This record gives sequence, structure tokens and C-alpha cells, in this order.
Amino acid sequence: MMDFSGHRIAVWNCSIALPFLLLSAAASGADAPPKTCTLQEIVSLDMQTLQTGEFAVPVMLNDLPAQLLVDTGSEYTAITDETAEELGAREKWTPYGGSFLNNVAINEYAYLDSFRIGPLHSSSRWQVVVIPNEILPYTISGLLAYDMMRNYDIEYDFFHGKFNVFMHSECPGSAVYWTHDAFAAIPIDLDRSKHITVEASLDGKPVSVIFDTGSPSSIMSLDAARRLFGWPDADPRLKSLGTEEINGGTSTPLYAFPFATLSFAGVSVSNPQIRLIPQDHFDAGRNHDANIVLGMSVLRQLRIYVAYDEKVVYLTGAEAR
Amino acid sequence: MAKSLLSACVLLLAFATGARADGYRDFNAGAAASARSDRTAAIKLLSVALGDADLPAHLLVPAYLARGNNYLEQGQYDSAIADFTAAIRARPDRADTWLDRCAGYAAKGMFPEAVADCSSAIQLQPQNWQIHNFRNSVYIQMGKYDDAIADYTPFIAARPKDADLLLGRSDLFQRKGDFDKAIADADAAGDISPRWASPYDRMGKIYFTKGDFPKALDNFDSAIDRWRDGADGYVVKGQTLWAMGRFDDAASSFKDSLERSNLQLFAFIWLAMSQSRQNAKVPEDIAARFAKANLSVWPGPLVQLFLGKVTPDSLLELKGKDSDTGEDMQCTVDFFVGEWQQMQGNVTEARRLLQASASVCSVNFATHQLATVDLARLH
Repeated sequence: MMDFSGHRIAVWNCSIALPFLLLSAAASGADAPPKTCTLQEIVSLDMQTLQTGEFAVPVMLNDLPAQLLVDTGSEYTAITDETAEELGAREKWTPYGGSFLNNVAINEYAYLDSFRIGPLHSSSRWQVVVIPNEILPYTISGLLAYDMMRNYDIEYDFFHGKFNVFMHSECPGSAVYWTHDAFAAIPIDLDRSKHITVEASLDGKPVSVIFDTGSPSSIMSLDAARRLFGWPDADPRLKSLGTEEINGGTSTPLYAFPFATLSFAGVSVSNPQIRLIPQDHFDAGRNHDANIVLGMSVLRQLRIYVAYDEKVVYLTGAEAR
Repeated sequence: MAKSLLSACVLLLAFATGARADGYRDFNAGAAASARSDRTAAIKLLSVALGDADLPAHLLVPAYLARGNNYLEQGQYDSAIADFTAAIRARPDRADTWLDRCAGYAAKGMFPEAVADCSSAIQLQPQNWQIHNFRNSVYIQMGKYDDAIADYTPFIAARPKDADLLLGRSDLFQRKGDFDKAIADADAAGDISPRWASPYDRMGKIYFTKGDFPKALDNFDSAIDRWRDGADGYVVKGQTLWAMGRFDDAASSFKDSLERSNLQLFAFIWLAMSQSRQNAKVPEDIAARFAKANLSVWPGPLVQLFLGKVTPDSLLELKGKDSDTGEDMQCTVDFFVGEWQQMQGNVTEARRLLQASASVCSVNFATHQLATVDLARLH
């Protein structure tokens, strides 16, 4: 109905770090299963894929069904203003919020009385950030973020449309169960906003990459790219794509460059479509140093298993079997 | 039947040989094109994906919705509606499928069908105000203000601290011509959010439309006090002063707006109109700034007229709705071209155009009031 191609990567100020409670794996209250080398899947959820490639999963907010867009670019699970109103969740203001890409400020939070994902549920009230309605389609209630996902291992199987949640694996290297073919196992660094950051190679140059399932497309700082590749000011390969009001913020110029290959320790993506925007819109605070925010236009070409405890991301091609 | 068998064979072959999953890749390429607003490429790629026998079933609805929305953006309403219908057939339990077809019907001007589809979406998510509000936008286009107001009322009761809802209903009451109720809602919104500019801006606009310019001015000043940049606030304040015949003060207000937003297009036009009443011109530095600006998008063509770059004839051909006000474009164009003719000394033509504007513009909106005020001055 509308173009909601947001880039839902957020940078949070430290002081918002109010306590978030772990989800309990046992809805019945039973103890968590013992840790073993066999992957223990807790729940496999159907992805509701959006028209620009991101996806949402079914959850229960205050015992009401809802869809949350899965966003590795956000530290805190969020609900929209509209959802907060629907749930009667009282919004509170904080001076220590954060911002989404393109400097869209977030300064409100609220509490959910209950939060369920399949058999998982919060053991107490769950604090969520309140975000503008404009960031999401009308029928999506918010964002599922790091604060929940970090408690588990998460697999993104875009080809089959499945969002799989596992208990943390105790056995390094055991995550890739879906293929005997080669895979990449890359250490991840969680930056100060808890973004999954990995090292990669873009056209032979080392880059840091943030995995952002909340962004339909991939974004890089134009200034950082110029420094990295030494492009002249009037490089004819750099094409203007006009302007866009990313996340409903101010209008920002966009550029494209014909990159050839993005490589992750042996797993490569050809012709990655990465849009370039000025540094001031990419990260006004300059408080993270990732060169590329990798969105769904590239991530959908991969099958991804994030082992949060092990701090490794496992990658294969999306269709590997 | 033969086609189905062929598809099944292709699917089995792909599975057996490990051939590439074309449907999946074509969908991804189409989604990426949608994300970068490359409509033509998106439609082409998604059409290929939808024709691929191996498109994963879970991507069927997203593919139809994505292609439908790209068609919609290109103004191909029938194709969009056909895709949304296919999505509804596949997933009638999803509100977004109905909502998208509601938008498709609304864009095509098939308002009753749009209302029916939005109502189906509402049945699936009855507490989602955004869907209700989208249906209200259709009601407004149909002139069914009472239906829209009725939609607001239970939400206002359920969300008594939501000032946005009160302002939305205030706007509807104004459109209906029920100014007292419009003011009451805006006033209540101001009580809820006393530091918010919008309730005062809203009240200013209602008083302006009523012709009570002093009260409008008070409210616009209150809004400006609360606004962070205030560029638009100075425009409506300036219009009020202009309507009151205080052209010097009006010009100052438009200059204030331009200081805060140096390419506020309406501020430039109104400054030109105010200056001409004092036999003065727009300061050269401001005129030079606008002469260099991109004036292709509305209301840029109006600025071009006041800069002497186009003739009035090119503007009088503009049709449709003004996206800012929802008013008939003729209402706005006739008013400003009439004012421009007056600046050229063509009083007869100015009078004709202002009369046309006043008759086309809704009596519940500002331009009608402005045209009426200036016609009285011409007489």
C-alpha cells in the first residue's frame, strides 16, 4: 500500500540500558533442557516476508497476536506508537534514547505485561522501545531485536521462510546442520549498540559489515567508501540515485557503485547492491565504525546461523542443502 | 492441465539435479528493486518470479503484493488490483492483502469497493487505528465526513490522552463546517498536550476559515511559540496578516519563514504578493535563491510564475487534487494566478479568477476565505 522501505538500524545511547529480562524457554515453568552437542530447536516460526524482503514473525504481546519485524539492527525490541496505544502500554519519555539511520530520534519506552514467542515467554514485564508508526507497515506491530535474540542461537532460513530458534550450542562448529558443503564460520563482534559485526572483503578491500535484517537494502557511508577505494571526486562509476527520506527523516542523497564481490571467508555474494549515503546521514554521531550496513538485498542470498554465545556467525548460500 | 504437469516436471527436475532456485532468486531481485523504488525492474523481475514453477509457496503473497504495489506506484491500477486480488485469494486471513487492495481501489477512484476492502482489513485487526484512519481517508474523498467522525469517536473514548485523534476529528468537523466542534476538539487536544504547537495551529486555521482573523492570529502566534523551526507557522501567520490588510507585517512574517526554511516556496509567493501591495519587490537575494532552485515539483510552477519564468496559461492547465490541502487544484491555481494578474494591473482578469477560485474552493478552507477577502478589496 505504501513504500515502507525503512532502514531500521539503530544506535542507542548507553543510558537507556534499563533491565531487560530473559525469556524463559519453558512456558510450563520446567527447567531448561541440559546442554548437549545436538542442536536443540526450541521453535521454528514462519517468516511473513514483506514486499521489500524483510520479514516478520508471529508473537503474542499482552496475550494478543501480533507480527514483529525481525531486526538485528536494533538492540531493543520495539513496538510502534499505534501498538502501544492498542495495548494500553503507557509510554514514558527518556532523554537517553537512541536513533535510527538518518538521525530519526527515539525517546519513548513502555512495558509489556507479557511477551511470548512460540513456547517462549517473558518471566516478567518486558521493556520495549516505542518507535514511530512511519517506520513500519500498518500491519506490523514492532521490531524483534537483540535483547530477545541474544538468549538463543538464531537461524535465518530465508529460502524456506523459517526463523528458527535454538538453545545455545555447547559445541563449536556444530551449527551448520543443513548441508555437508563448505560453510563460513566468522567471529562476530557486537558493537556498542549490539549490532552483529563481521569482517569481510569488498572488491578486495577489508570492510566491517553489520548484519541488519531490518533494512531492505544495504548501505555504506559514501565518505568511508571514498577513503577506502580512493575514488576521485567525479568517478563516472558512481551514479546518483536521487534522494530518499530514509526512515521518514530528512532527505538524503543516494548513490550506487558497481561493486563486484562481497566475500565472507569463502562464501561470496556477487554484484552486491550497496547504496551509498553521506556520512552525516549514515551515522551522524560517528559512534560505530562499520563500513557497511548489510540489508536484506544481500542477506537473503545467505543462510545464516548466529551463535550468540559462541560469538560466531555461520554462513552458506541460501539454497545450500 | 498440461501446464500444471509441465510445472511439476520442471520442479522435480530442479530438485533432482540441484539446479538453481530461479523463483527464489527472481523474487529476491524483485524485492531489492522494490526497495530501491526501481518500479519497472521490480515489475519485470517479480513477473518472472511469479512465473517460475519453483517460487517457494511462502513467497507467493509477498510477490503479488510487491508487484501490485509497484503497479500502483506506476498508476497501473487494474494490474495492481488484480495482483492484490490474487494475494487475497491466497491469504484472506492477512489484513495487509485487503488493505493493499483498498489502496488500489481508492487510487482508481472506486471508493465503495475501497471502503469494503478496508472494512475487511479492519475485521482482521479491529483495534488498529491506522487501518481505520486509512479507511477514513477514503471516506473523506467520498465526502462522507459523518462516517469518518463516527469511526473516530470510539477510539477517542478508548484513548482519552491521544491528542492526535482529537486533532484528526477536529479536521473532519471543520471540513463538515461544524466549526464549534472543530474548535472544541482542537482545544481539548491543547489541554492534553499544552506544549504542542499543532492544536494551536489547528485552532488558528479554524478561526481563519471562520473569518475571525484576530483569534486566528493569536493562535498562530501560540503555535509559533511552541514550534521548533516555525517556518510554516510564519506562513499561516503572514496569510492572516495579509487577509487583515497588514501587508507590511505580512511581508515580515514571510521573511521570518524564509529565514527558517530558505526554500519555503509558498513563503516566497506570499512575500511577492505582500511586497507588491506596498509597491515593492522581493529582495534580490531571495529572488536569486529561488531562481536557482528546483521548481519542477508543485508548488514550484507557481514560484516560476512569480519569477516571470512561465506564463499563467501553463498553470491553468493543472488539474486534479492539491496534495497538501486535498482541494481541487483549480481552487489554488485560480487564486494565485488571479493574484499574479492583479500584480500585473489586470484587474478584470484578476477579479474573474478570484471569483472562480472562491466558487471552486470548499467554503471550509482557507483559500476560499482569502479569495473572498481580496475580491471584496477589489470591489
